[in-house]
Amino acid sequence: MRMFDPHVHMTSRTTDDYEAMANRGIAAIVEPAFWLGQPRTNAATFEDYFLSLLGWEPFRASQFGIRHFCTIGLNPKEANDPRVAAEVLDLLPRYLVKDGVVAVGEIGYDDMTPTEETYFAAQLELAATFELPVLVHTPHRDKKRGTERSLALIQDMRFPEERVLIDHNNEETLPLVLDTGCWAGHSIYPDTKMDEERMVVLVKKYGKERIIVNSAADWGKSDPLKVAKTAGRMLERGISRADVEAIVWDNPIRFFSQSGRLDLGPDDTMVDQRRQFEGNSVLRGQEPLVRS
Amino acid sequence: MSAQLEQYVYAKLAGGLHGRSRLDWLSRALAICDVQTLNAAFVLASRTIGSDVLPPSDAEALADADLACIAHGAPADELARICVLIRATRAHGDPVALATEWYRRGDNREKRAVLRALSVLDDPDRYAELGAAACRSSVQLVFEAICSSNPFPARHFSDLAFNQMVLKALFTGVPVSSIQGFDARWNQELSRMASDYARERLVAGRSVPVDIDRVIASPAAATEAS
Repeated sequence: MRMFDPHVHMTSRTTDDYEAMANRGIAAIVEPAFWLGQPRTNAATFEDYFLSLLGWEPFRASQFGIRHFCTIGLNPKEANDPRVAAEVLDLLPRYLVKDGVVAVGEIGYDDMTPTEETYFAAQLELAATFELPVLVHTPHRDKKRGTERSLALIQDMRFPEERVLIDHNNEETLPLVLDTGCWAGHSIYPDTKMDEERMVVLVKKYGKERIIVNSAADWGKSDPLKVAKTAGRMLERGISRADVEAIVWDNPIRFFSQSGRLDLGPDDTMVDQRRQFEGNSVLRGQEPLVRS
Repeated sequence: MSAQLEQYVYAKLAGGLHGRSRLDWLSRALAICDVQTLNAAFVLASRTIGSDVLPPSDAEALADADLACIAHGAPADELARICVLIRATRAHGDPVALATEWYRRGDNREKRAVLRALSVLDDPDRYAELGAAACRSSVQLVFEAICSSNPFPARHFSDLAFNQMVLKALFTGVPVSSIQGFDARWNQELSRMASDYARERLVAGRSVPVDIDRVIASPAAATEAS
């Protein structure tokens, strides 16, 4: 089964990970810009990070036959840091225009400070200007409240909900998100956030529409094979193959295609492989969005 | 020379389903004088023009040999980007700083376009440092943009930069035959570097690049032998 990991920080992973992901069927990934485990001390290091998300990392991925896209943004944690925040915001237009950028993100709340809200709103505006979807991080602490406030801000700003992916959901936040037009991401983690078995229960309860799963693997204890493992678990537990494929392939493609830049183009070997797979049902839906 | 390239790109874009709109887009982009807006056009070229590879044989129609080399098998967006970059370097007080910045802030495909353009920019010698720096890229497609089928290195690189590039070509499997002007730049030091490399590979029990002899032997000797 072809799979898409729509949230994985490959910059902090090894080539063994890429190899294992490719072997398990991960054919495309989105790497969101986030923080790097410790605060950056100036905007220039952000710029180098953005450049590696557009240069070195897609190249590394391509060496394993994996198509790499990214999201660019100022994360909520570092939005609080006056050494970098304003300058990074000024840099964003220069990078949001690039071909490999399929959303603005990760943006949102972390501690839910007023400063975080300022930058969250400013980046929603940038997303509207650049006609990009947004990837919204929800906080670890006080998650439910953070999710409610994120949804409220999106509504207040009249940002189109179908272009919003609210990430790191759990049993409490998923119904809130599905009540809106937003998409719901789930980070399958070894210990925290969400696990495979709980995800099975959620899919059985809520179905496949606007449901997305990711590994959110980064420099911490995490597992870049979680999308594949979760797909396997869903099949074992009797969820239909069509529904599993929708969750691990069609849905993320449908969401990020709204950028107009999810170029799984005809010159890409991955698309050729996919065309031989299941009669090309996914691609047919996407063809209008492929560059001519 | 740039007018010739623009004409070529216009002619190539005119055909096809979206010919008209692509053409309009590019002519609007090239009419811009403001460098920031030109940079946005440079970035957007890929999505508006598309990356279809133009028929390589068509490039032979270009009278200028450098342009023909650059256009051979090039994707449409790359050529459009080169046209935009030429305009921008002429509109800017410090063209080297501009090209360097567009290269540095570019994604891999933008970087390629800058490197492909170097030999057709005005006064190309001043971009030698940028070209040599690009040879240090670990992204193979970026390295090949400067090393392979590009007249720039042979004409403007120092011996040191040229020799390092050839060695890297051997290391990374880029055919020596694709290095433009190789014979004219061949030198004893390069030959020594290549034979040392061959020895190092043999001692380690590894294979030696198939075209390394071409680097070790003087091109004059090779001509005499044949």
